Amino acid sequence: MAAPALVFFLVTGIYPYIMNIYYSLTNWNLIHSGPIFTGATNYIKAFADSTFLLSVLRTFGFIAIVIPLEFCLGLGMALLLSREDIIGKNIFRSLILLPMMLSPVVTSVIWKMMYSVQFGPLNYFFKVLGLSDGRTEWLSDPKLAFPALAVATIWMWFPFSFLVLLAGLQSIPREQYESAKIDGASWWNELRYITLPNLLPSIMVVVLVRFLDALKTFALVYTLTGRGPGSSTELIYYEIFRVAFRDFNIGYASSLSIIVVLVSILACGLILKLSRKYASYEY
Amino acid sequence: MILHRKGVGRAVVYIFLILFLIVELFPILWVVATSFKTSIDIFNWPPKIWPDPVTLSNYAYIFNDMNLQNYLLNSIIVAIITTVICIIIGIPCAYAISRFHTGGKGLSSWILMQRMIPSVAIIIPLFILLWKIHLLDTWFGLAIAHVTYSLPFGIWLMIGFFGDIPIELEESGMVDGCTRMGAFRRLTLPLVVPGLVAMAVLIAIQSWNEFLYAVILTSSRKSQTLPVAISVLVHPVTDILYGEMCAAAVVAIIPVFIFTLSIQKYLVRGLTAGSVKG
Repeated sequence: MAAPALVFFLVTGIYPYIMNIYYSLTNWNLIHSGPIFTGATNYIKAFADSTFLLSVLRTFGFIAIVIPLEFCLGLGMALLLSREDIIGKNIFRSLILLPMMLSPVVTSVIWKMMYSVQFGPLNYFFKVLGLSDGRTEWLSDPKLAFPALAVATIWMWFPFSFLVLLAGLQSIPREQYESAKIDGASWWNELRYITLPNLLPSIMVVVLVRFLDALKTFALVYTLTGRGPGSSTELIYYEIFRVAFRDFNIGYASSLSIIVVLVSILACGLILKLSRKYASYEY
Repeated sequence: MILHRKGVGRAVVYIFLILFLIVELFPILWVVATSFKTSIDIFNWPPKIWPDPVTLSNYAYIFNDMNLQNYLLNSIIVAIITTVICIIIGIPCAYAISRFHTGGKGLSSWILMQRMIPSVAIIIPLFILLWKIHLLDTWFGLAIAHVTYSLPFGIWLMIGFFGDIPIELEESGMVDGCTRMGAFRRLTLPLVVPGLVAMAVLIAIQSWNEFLYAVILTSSRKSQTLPVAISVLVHPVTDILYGEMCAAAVVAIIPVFIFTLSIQKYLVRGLTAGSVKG
């Protein structure tokens, strides 16, 4: 019964990886010629390619900024909604998670409007609060475009942390809180010694899934900032897209994609290992 | 739980939740309001929240001059093809894994991995493959790309749904003379239908929203989807048409909004499939 799905997975889940490895060993420009086998040349080239290396570093920096902020925002809202006496919990939950249901392109439209220089609400609020002169170029200032991209990403994806952590909170046995109450534990101690240790599996899920998803940030870069100004917001997916489908350097782009996959597998392994170490220390 | 026991008033929580929602959803409301504004209102400083007068000219433009209905149709068709393929080949696979443990732990974790692995690993070979079999810039080609990530997601979700139904139910059906297929069709399937509907909706929304594959695998109005059409408006060659861009975004938001609210009960489970236990 599983046969049709397995056939599909063979075609889309194994064949492409093999072909990708093969392409990565060739020099293949779609405009000029077919693939010419060149061995590891592409990989050697990649490790001297500062545009590529910078975009990898930038992507990891981006991930290191968005995940903790999404997590804090998600945890805060999850703690608030895990109260049992909130009426209309489902409505609140659905409204909070609305941004993550949108297309990233719609998110781009939304933030293009928010960041607009001449008539954007953000500039207006900053001016009213006396924080700026109301002419801030959010998306074309090289220093601001990267944080602006991060804010849009956090806005869109903190609901995921919220959802997973809310599910995690609801599965913590209530007895633990009751005995803590008897022992006179403070609010902070409850969070530190009951809530967070119990949430650890959910926290790992949030970090892992969001790590892999944030790595894929593409549509926001493509539409909101267009990698600019300069290349200050060029993340790795956009870089590979550009090499493959703007320059049509299929061979080189394949080798970049394989490096990215290997690096992300390594990073996931590291996250898992750290979590185990932390977990055993915690209990 | 914590806050509750420390005696923070319920009213305070409500006020905070509502304030938070206003801040969080303001950007969406702003886009919706802008889509009904005249261009004079749009460029007004200080910004005006409510459109006055309300105009439909932005919508008229995107449908009459930009032909948005063409992209809308492409989006709908691709979403339907994707969902149908996922259901037809996903249900039997999930059922087999859940009931007969086909492929053991290896297969189910491999399916989960398909969902996690960065899509950049397959996009170039997929492009070349679709190019060679002349499926670039077609509905079906794009739908296949969407199935590559939706099918593992759907199967993983369905394994959970089937797992909820006790196997004894089918066994008792078979004792009473049903065939295995009959027991599945008459007893199990009706019970999982609500979950399957939620799953289908989520797969359709994912396909509706998807951008990376859409921008790479389509190149003309023959198969370009709504997000691709909108991306042209956000990142135009000349000036941005703000009102029209917002109107197009609203067209993309409405179905998502309606369907999200309609499957509320299954949302958490669907959106966290493969991450937390059911």
